Amino acid sequence: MKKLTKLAIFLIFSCFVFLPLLVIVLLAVGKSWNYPQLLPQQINFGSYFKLLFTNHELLTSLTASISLALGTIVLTISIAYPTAIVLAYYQFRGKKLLNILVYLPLIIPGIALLTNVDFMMIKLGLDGSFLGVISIHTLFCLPYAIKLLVDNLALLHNRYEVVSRNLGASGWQTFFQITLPLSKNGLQGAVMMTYIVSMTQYLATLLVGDGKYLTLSVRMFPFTQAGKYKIAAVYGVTFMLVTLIPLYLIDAWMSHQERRVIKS
Amino acid sequence: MPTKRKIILLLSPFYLFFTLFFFSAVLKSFVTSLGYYPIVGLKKIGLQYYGSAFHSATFLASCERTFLFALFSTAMACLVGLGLAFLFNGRKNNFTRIFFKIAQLPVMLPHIFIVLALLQLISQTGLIPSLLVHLGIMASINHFPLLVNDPLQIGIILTYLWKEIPFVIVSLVLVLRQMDDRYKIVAVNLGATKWQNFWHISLPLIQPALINAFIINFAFNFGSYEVPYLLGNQQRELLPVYIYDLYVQGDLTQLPLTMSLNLILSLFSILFAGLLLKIGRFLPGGHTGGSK
Repeated sequence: MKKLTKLAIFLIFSCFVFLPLLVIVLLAVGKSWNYPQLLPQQINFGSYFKLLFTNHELLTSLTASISLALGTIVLTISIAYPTAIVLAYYQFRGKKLLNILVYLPLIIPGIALLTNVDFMMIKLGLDGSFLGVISIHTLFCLPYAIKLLVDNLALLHNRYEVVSRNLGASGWQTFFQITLPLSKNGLQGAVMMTYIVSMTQYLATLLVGDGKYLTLSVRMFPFTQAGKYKIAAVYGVTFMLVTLIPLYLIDAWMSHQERRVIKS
Repeated sequence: MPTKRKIILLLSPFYLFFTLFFFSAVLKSFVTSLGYYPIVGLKKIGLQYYGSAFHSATFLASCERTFLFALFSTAMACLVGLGLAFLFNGRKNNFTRIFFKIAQLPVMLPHIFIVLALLQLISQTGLIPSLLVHLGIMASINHFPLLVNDPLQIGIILTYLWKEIPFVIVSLVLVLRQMDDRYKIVAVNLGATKWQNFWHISLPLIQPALINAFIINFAFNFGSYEVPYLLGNQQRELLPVYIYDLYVQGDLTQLPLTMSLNLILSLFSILFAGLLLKIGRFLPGGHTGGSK
């Protein structure tokens, strides 16, 4: 009986998650799906892929999304990694304050922070520039990236680093031979989370980007608002293709590697 | 290299970045909110904009509405997420592994995605009303309750639940998996019931992660613009829509007011997060639980 309830809850939850995904996919590949029909009259995957490879707007959105995400990853990791090493390994004055500071971009309401930073970006002349947009994305990615990296580094403490230094390794040697390999899992998590957060930003990209970076999530918005659900869904499915599939592949590859290490 | 210099060196990218894009932005809007905005000839410094913010009935009503809305939707997400995380957290079980993978999906997709699906599903000409009519449960789609752009903001709440229940699950399951099983075994050995086990062992250990998730979700629900804009009710406007409209309307003399509203909200959110953390310290597990 208890097993049955658990199964029922599992099924309800799966429906809750998958039903919207299914609707989006059907919208994107379905033809002439009008009220009150329950299912599209025709399903045509070919037309979706044709759009994906020939539609200029879709392709520019895709490249805008991915180049912004990659830029954000580089900027986020180069700030988050050193910060996380300090937070995980050292005790110093102001550590508590720094810990709070890191989370502030997530605590301050998005609309307040965005209008403030946009105002500043205009002043700095970064409004509508690539650097400006990846900076605002980075501001929202940093809390997640730092948290994931700190959790991972704190698990191991810096005992290995201390041993390595004791045995005469230089600071750089210790970093490349010990710290970097040990934080592989944390870095993977941070990169994946940064990718997701950057890809899903809407208002940040629109405001600071001055409408010049029409990413997939930015373009979905006006189509949804105008009731053009099919074309919005085409962008949605493209979004799924470039986030879910690569992330699951990386995840599967990493756990495969881990198993191989344990076996040998 | 001495440790102190190394720490300063390692922290410099972070502080440089935050000074450029965060502190300066807050400082700039603080100065502006005091009424100093020379571009449009505003130079009178004072608290007048804060005063007019606290006297504006629309702002205060919108604040209260948004606060209650955010509190309710966040509490729902955290409660359901907590329950599900406890039901499915085994590491060796294949079933729960699949559950965890499914829970990760909504975290990876943007809000606009679920908004689009909801519009197709539950608006009055959507799929669910059509299905109900088709099955004969409802006589016509006009009997279906208004669920998007409705006064109770049900559409927005559903969107947030879809995104946030999985977020809570993912953050809690990660902690639950690292938890030391020995505490539980000892407790059971000493005769603890299931409920005691939950209340005295598991909850204290995950409580900090739960509070964190609550704070992040609350701040989001309180201050995010796009979902209330698309699914909200125009008579009962939520705060983010109100502020965004004020910011983009182009009247530069209104900017100090917008900035003062922003700072009031920011300060309020920080204080509220602080309060939640304080409450967390008094709940079981607040002193040692989860700390490393």
